Amino acid sequence: MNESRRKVLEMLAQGKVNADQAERLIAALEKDDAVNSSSVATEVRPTTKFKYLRVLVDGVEEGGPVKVNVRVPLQLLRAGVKLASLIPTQAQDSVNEALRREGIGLDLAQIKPENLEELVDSLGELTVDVDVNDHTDTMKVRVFCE
Amino acid sequence: MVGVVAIRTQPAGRRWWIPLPLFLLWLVLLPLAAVWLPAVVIVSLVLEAKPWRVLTISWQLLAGLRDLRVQLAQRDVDVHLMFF
Repeated sequence: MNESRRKVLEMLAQGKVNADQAERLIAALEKDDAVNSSSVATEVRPTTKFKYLRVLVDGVEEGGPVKVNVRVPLQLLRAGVKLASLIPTQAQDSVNEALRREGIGLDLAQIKPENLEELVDSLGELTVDVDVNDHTDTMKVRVFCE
Repeated sequence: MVGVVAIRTQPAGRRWWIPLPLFLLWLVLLPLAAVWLPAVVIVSLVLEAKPWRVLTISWQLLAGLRDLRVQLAQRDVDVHLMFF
């Protein structure tokens, strides 16, 4: 029983409202609850399971039209990122050092399989649109998941 | 699993299809498993990696190739790489 309904019953017990009024108040509260729950239901976004990462490049260069159309299964990306866990510790130190020199403070030893899963899963929300218009070249790049 | 490389040299030209029957890879690899499995284990141990993990990730990579599509087209050359 929620707080509002309890208050109505207390008002009824104290004689502040009669049974008829209490019933109408409770009915009004139930109607509000139904409206709230339906609005919450409509706000919940359907969870779409993405399967592929798409990279589309469409453009015109001096030599003619250029087209790149890549569809990478996310399953392959998952397996690919797991390869990072196979990097030997000596090599990891070298990679970490190289990253640090480039200003990226990333420690490969700290990357756990769960992090990689999250990384690949979050790719589903990725959408990149790049339009390049040069004097002679035009290029349109789209990266998204489907 | 089958991979296909398709190459077209002109927009209206002939297209070459080169099928890559990857499932036949197993026919080659399985009889030689007694040779390459210990080699994988030794290399994994030398590199301080878990052999079983190396094998599972390799398998996942191979299985993940399914449905991979790559198309590169420039001027008169059009190359498709597909895995089914």
